Amino acid sequence: MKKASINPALLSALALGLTLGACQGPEASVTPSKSPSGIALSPEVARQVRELEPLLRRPTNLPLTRDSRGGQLLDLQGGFQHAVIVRRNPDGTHSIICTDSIDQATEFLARPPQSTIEEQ
Amino acid sequence: MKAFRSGLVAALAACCLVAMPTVTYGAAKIVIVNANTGSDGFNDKTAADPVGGNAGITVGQQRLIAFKYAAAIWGTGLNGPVTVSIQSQFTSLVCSANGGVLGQAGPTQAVLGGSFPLPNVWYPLALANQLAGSDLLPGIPSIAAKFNSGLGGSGCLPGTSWYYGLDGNTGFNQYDLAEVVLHEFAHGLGFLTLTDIQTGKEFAADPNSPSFQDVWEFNMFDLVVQKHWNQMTDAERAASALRPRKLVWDGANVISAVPNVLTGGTPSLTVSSPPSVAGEYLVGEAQFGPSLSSTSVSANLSAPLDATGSTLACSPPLSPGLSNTIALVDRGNCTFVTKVKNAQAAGALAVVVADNVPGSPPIQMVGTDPSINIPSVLISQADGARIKTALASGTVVVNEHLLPVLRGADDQNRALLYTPDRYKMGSSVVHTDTIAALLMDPAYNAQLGHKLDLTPYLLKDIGWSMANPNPTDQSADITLSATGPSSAKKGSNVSYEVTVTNDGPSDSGDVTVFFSTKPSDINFASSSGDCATGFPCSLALAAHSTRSFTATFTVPSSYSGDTVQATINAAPPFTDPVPANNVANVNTSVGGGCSSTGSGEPLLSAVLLLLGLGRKRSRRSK
Repeated sequence: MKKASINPALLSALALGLTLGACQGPEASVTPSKSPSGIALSPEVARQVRELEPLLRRPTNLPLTRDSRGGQLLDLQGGFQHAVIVRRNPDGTHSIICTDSIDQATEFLARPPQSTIEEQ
Repeated sequence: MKAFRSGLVAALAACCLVAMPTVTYGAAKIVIVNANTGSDGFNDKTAADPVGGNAGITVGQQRLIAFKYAAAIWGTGLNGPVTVSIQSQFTSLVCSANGGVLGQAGPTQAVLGGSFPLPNVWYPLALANQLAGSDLLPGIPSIAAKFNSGLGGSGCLPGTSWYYGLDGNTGFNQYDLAEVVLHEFAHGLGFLTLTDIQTGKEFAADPNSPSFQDVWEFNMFDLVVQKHWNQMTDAERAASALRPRKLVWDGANVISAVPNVLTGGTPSLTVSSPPSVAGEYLVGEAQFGPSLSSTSVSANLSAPLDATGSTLACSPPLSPGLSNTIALVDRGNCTFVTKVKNAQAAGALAVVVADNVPGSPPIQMVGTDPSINIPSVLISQADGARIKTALASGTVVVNEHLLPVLRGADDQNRALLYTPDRYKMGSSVVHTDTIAALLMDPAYNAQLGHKLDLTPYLLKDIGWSMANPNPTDQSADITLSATGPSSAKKGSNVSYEVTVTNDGPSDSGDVTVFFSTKPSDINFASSSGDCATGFPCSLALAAHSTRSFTATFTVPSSYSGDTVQATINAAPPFTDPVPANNVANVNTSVGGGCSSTGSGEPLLSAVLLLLGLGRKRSRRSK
């Protein structure tokens, strides 16, 4: 009987795919290496973005229940939040924003610090 | 103290206290659900001095009082039959030495359908409950909020701290907790859209379900396409979210409130000729020089070069002579003040600075220099390029002035929503435009005085009932007195009699009463009267009313000290004009022997904070 041969590269690809699939799941995201405008993220900012993502995400496949009136109640699963984010400027002042967007939060944290006193 | 009240309290005040000057309003009941466990967050027992009207004596108490204060303001501002529960937690949030998250909040559920005023429209749970007249999800908080307990630590913006005071006197590098909480609670109450502003796609439970409008969309009106968001295509909504100062809130309640809330005129640059560039241009104002409210300047535009041949105007002198012209210069390389001062020295009547980075609306030009006596404005890079092109071909006539339009609204008193282009920060369409400096400004500061300004009117437009748009205008003076035994024996019970009074003029709302003992291993045994559920407890006091309770503690047989100190403090939800009389300490000496009740024994000492500031009462603290 002839043995079926398996391409090692295919095996590796399958293993990698399974691993990624198991890690990511339907709601997982990958921390970007750049902000939406193309600013490279420092390791510190990348970590912050990764931790912020669950709060500001817009999850899909949300659990739905119905009430006695015929209405639908949707559990937002901790997403759709607004977060107040602060960044320290070189002159000691702080910039502050409130956002519900992970892109905006990323851009805000990644943007090179500006001095509000020596603004040019 | 500034007041907050329930309908029941209002009714009691009306029928029983007719002769007293009392201010009453209906109110929504908004409660803070402490989600912290152990000794963290709201339970942090680190000692703290009362500050800025916050009578808490531990860090945890002060945090809770600030949260309750914000809840009370919203509870007074809004009306509703169903309690709004806010699951609240102080915990470590995303943070580093250079930046981090102060706090976050939002609704826990979205509700669609049923018998709401707008069928098949998403509502946030807190509002949906009010419209339904019942709690649609009993036991589930309608809002969730988390705030950063690590602020100021070595790994989280060191050198900064929360300001727990309720008076807005925030210091340098401090964040006004009450202000931040007020803002974030508004998002949870319904100041938000579920529509994806990047794609314009309305909200659906999952990708395979139909999408529906949310209640926020119905009052968002785009001045360019002349449609409300609920009438737009996805592409139109996505484009609308990026049109600076072209999206307004046209709810009837906001329109009627705008003349009473907003002030001033709107700074503008008007180009009157040539026709190719004529029109109104958005501007950023300068912190320095005369304001446009007192100055209007109209002249031909000039394009000077500085000593290096640059349009940046950083190196004097500027040439050619700028007499009787408005100088157009570019942003960059030196401060705004330097540019304007150089143009002033060359004889310019005013200055227009063209931005050097994309983005609109233009930012405010910061800086100080009292010697500057000409006005200046910043325009966007795109507008600058357009005007420069016209100027290269001939004369351009401009006018720096204030439009007769209330700052933060359009010419029909519709409130401007924040719709910066993609380069600006802060959530679009669910904040007010930054020109007006309101509570719902995306980059709000701490000096807004805890005013709700236009926010309750917007919430009324989406279905909330509004009780009182200016809760912080009220006040009520809370006083607390306490008595206890002069001595007690180890293994015995010690009882304290406590009275809390509201001396008016307003109802108090929920006054939080904290009871702590030193040492802390004195065990709580029971309480009765108006705080029968233990501590902290909440007491709602109508103006000129009194509540009282008895609290009993057990001194362990193994207790090795010779004194027990009880500290009782009453924290009203708003700033109390005389906070010093909200706290009382009672000292009891402890001797050996077996049990005997301490209740009814003579008072040894009531150590009263700020003794003599108020009325003196026998055996009472003021």
